[in-house]
Amino acid sequence: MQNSNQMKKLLISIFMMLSCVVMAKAEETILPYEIYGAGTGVQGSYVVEVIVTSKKSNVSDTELVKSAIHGVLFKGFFNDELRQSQKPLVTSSLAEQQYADFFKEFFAGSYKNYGQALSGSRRVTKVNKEYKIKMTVTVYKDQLRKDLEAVGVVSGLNTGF
Amino acid sequence: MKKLFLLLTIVAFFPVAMLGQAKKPTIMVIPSDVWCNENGLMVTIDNMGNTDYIPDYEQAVLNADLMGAITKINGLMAERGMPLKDLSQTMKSIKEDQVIRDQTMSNSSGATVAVTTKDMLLDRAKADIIIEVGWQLHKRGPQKELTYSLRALDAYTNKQIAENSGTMPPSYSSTVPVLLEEAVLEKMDGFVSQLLAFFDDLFANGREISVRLLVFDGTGVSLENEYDGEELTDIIDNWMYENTVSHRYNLSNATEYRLDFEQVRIPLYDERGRAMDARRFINNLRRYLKDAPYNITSKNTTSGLGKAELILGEK
Repeated sequence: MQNSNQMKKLLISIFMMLSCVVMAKAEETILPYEIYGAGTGVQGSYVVEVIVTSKKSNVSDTELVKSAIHGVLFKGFFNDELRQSQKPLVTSSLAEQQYADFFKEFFAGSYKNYGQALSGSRRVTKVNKEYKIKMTVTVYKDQLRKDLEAVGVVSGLNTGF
Repeated sequence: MKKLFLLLTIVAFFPVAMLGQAKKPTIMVIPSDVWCNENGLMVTIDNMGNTDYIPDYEQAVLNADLMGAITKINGLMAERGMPLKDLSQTMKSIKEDQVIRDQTMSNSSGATVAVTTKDMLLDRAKADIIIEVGWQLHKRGPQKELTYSLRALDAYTNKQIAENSGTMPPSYSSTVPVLLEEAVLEKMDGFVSQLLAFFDDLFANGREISVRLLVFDGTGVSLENEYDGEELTDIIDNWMYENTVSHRYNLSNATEYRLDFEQVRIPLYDERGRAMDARRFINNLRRYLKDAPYNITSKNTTSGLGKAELILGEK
């Protein structure tokens, strides 16, 4: 009986540890996504539309915000209809690898301060065996840029002067 | 071990701490010539029989739409740590300076302030980098469409260093100031990223300037004079080779009385760690030519960060 209890405790511990690892992994990974401009935002922000592809339909809003911020940082976006085109905030193509540790930590949590999902804009469509989850996100790009400048990931206009 | 680490850190950062900061270029937003022309803001001047057209900035700064656009651009640039010179304030300041100078007299003799023709020519709105802004409003039935252009020019090399232009989406109801504000907000980031690339190049390869050497008439100095069998032109050329970053410069004109160097890359700091500009760079050449065996006196007439001018023969 005692052995059985000990076994139970051990299994629960292993399960909890595995859950933590899986959750941490999910926090770090970016799901495949597309990003487009969705109009001119208020000063200091971008309004973007992000479409995440996933096998599950219940991808969280924060996951979509994460993809939007990743897109603003490393991909840039455009919209032919709205005649919008923005280059990525991080201009060096090597920066993502160069500051890998910083971005790993950034996308583990602090990214949440720089974006907000527009409520009611979530749309889910099923294409073959996958789901396309679309959402409009406001990215606070000025604050994001300032904070990246402060840690030296991107250079500012007055850097060096 | 800790002491060693501390020592290594100090040694590593000492040269950086010793260096001064590079000189920040002055930037000013002005209306483009095309915009001034389309808005009837060009003045005609008679230049020795030829008719020249010059933008009338004094009148332009009274245009509310233009000032709205300039204010927005100035604000966005200041937010990024690069405050700009304001055109309307510069125009006012020039006028005030002229009035004060005209009224200033010596107490004892009543003499007025000496002003050279060159001083008068320098009394105009200028900056190291000029940002030209312009727009056109097109009407398509009830819709309005704004075509907007923003470009930055290096005032001394005359190179375009950043550009962002395009047509904004058509609108039924927005007013011109709203359309302009949208355009500025939309285009500014792309524009600034090009400016950043220009500054990155500046830090990596040195500041680009142009250098002109002239000769005062009747002083007996000629750029073809020989010293130890070598012409003065070649001596100056060698000096440029030794003192430019990666020996990067281009001698574009060489005559008996004039040398023009373009795309001259000068270091950002001198050997004492002070920020370098065109004046300081060409002063080094002036000192070099003053010494034996050349013994040539010269006048440094450089104005601004990026255009050096030295006149040989006398002060």
